[in-house]
Amino acid sequence: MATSTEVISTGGHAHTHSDAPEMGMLGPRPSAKTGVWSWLTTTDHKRIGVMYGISALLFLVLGGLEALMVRIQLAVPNNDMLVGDMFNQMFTMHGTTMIFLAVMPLIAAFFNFVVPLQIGARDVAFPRLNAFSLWVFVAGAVLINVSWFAGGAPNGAWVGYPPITGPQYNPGHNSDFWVMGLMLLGVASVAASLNFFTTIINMRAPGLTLMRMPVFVWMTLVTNVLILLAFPPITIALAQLMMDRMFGANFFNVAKGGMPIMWQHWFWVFGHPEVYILILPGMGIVSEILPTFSRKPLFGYPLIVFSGAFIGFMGFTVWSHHMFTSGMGVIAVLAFSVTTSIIAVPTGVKIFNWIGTMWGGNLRMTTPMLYALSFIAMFTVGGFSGIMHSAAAADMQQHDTYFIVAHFHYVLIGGAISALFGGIAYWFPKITGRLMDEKLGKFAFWVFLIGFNMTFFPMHILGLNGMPRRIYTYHADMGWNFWNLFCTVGAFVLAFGILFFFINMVHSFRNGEIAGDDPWDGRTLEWSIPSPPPVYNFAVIPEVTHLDDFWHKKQTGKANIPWDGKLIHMPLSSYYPLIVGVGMFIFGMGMIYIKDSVMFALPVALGGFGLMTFAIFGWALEGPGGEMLDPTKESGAHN
Amino acid sequence: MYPLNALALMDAQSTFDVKGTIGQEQLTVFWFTVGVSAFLLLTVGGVFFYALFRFRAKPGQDFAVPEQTHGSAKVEIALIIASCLLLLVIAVPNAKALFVMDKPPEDKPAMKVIAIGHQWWWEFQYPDLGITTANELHIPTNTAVKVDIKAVDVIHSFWVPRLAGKMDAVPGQINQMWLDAKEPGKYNGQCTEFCGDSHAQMRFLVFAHDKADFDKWTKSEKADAAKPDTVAQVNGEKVFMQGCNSCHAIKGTNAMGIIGPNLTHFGSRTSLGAVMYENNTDNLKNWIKFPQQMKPGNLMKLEQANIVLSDRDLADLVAYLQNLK
Repeated sequence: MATSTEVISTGGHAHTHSDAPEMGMLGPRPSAKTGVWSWLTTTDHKRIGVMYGISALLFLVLGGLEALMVRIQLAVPNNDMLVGDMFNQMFTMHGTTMIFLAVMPLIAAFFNFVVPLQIGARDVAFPRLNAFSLWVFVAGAVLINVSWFAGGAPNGAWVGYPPITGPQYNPGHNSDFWVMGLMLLGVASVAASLNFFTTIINMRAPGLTLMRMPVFVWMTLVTNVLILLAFPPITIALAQLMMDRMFGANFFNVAKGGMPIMWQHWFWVFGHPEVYILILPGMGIVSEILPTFSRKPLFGYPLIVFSGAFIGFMGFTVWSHHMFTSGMGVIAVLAFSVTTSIIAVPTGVKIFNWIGTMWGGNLRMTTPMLYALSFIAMFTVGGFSGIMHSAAAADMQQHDTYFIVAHFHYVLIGGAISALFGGIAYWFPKITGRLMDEKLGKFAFWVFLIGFNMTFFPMHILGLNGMPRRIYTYHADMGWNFWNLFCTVGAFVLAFGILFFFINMVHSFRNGEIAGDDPWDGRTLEWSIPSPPPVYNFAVIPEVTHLDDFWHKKQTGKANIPWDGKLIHMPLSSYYPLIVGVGMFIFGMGMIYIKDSVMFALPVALGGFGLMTFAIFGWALEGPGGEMLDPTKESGAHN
Repeated sequence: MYPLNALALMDAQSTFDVKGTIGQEQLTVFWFTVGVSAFLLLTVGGVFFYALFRFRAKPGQDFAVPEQTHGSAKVEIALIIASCLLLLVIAVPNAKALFVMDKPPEDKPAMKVIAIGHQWWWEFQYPDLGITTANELHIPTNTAVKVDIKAVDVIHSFWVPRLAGKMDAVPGQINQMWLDAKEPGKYNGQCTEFCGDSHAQMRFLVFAHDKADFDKWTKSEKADAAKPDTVAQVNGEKVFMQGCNSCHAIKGTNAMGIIGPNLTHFGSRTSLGAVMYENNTDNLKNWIKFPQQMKPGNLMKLEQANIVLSDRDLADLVAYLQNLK
């Protein structure tokens, strides 16, 4: 360990400290510790996590409202509230919003808030890059939604298959917003994935070997490798579509020899790993909640870890199962059918081990535990329908019907959202210092679970009875009337369940019971520090000797570690990540209109690009910087 | 089949009420997957709920510490092997079905059809019979109908659930499938790949006939279009040839457009606008007068073509078209 004169590095580079303010191209670095500017310039992973979380929940509301519009239109046959293109915009934005603007950033919120705390670090490896990821995500998310006020939102489904999104069949700007927005979101995701990969590999506390890492950290690691490998293919596809749309290229233009099917391969080489990007962190969260409330270690820890990694790897071998009906030929169909079914094995292993964790435990039915249990049950149901369409022959009937819609909502709401809500309830006391209300929490949970099943279970029936996806209406004589109305009613019940959860969050943030450091009798390092954690997280970096180290220390009476008298080196705030984000937003807006008016749009694009370049230089020149903190003088809470 | 009826699983596009070889193979595979899932639901689900209730903390015992066990290699290995075996139960019938779908049996009588997806209707060509029609496909029963599937604009998907699973229509490539119908009847079909504004209204019908009926249909379809009989119909034909003909074809006349559906035997079709409306006088009038209101986004944009019809011309045009049996 470091001697008392050494600086403890927390990311960036260790830096000798002087009392003079750090200077950058814009003058002194931001010094606000409270107020709006302190949030806009922060490099604190906890604050960035909170901002990711709040934006994600806002977009979850927006995507949810879009879903309700879709359900209202489909409540009765021959409805005319959202006909044709308006309906197409609504479901396209529902899918795009939920995947890229709600679930992914909500996951990023957990990466940010929880991972450094669980590995005993004081921040991520690259704190300013972390802020950059947040602001570029916000830029991309806002850019896509500007389309609603600029002539029409994206309308080519979340998969954006050309030619329907190509310039010949989609001449407006709808898909331009989609292409540019997704590109920005890709930049944000890749930057974040590099950051978390580096953080987990390099910044673990001493003794925290890979096989002592909490499973959530493991799943974060796997997820970020997936992001790093999966986003390049979608970026290439988006670049090709952008060239087709903005500069008259012919990648997908059949009249000039383009190949629409190429997009589908690019897209699903991204899109299938993307599904695991959405679910693996949820599996990680459940693997934290279950041991805590079963009061037992995770059953088969190494197998849970390896099966998570194996699922991630297999995610790259199954992309064509989204294309069983695209005419690949019988051998390719059979091969992808087999690789797909293999994924059932590691997934089953996880489910067995979660049940094994409960077995012989002392289960406490708290709100987080209820969400974790509903994850296991609902994800298993989604797994069954997954087995059903891994059998390609059966999938030929199910593909692009409501059966598929049912399947992936079981995985994404019953699975991912259950786990994420459970994670919010679980770490809420750590984030805010207050417990969420248990009574309201349980009530919201049951409304959520009942509404969810009412909405999505009947969709299996609709799909098997021949109802295709993405249709804005249906005829009254198809036998689909009853269940569609039922689904719509269920969607409102589900919406109330989510609303009650939000009300609970707000209520508990203000009036919740004070949590203390370790309200659940937790097992991992984040419970060893105050709630909310001080800006530097750990006054002393813990030395780890066991899996579930904090639990072990508590059992052996070694949980309290006194401060060792060393000052703590923390990164400084910075203006530049925010400015890069603003520059990229302006650049994107300019590019979208480049075909209409080079005179007007090109200067805008160049201006945005210039601002971005300026800020990147400023960022590089100001250096990582840093300040020394004395934990006895810090007030503690930074939120 | 009563329970399936009660759940609303046996309707016009049911994947259970199947009358084709491929549809039946696919349903068999589906039942295998249901069997495996049901088995897992009972076993894994049973253990899950048992654990859930058996190991709940007793009142006041919330923070009791149970024995800290870490796992069992024997249990894990046994479960992994069992999972792999269960997958084999599905894999075998799945592989068999895929090969059945790949090629029809050699001894089965066969015919060829080309299905072409347009925004938002289906064109059907019979290359060996010289017939072109739209949205209503007629086939003989117990015959392997080999379908070449194409698209002219965006991606569509050809699906007749009660006969066979779907196949995409991708511009620039020709996909192939085959299907058969074991019983005469009307089978609903629908486009299942999102294809734009009126994707929901890209439906079609397959009529399966026994041999004699199919031959009768073939004979009448091969013939040129019926000549106009009445004054109204003669005027209707004249009106048709002043604009409609640039997009629509009628065999035996000068109308040779290929943008819209071939109307040679339009009067014999049961439906209008890709099975959106019943083919009757009122609907046809409305269709011709307000095509965009009747089907949003379709290519029949009369304002752009500067076509304005008087009431009389409209009535005559309808009379002419209805006579094209």
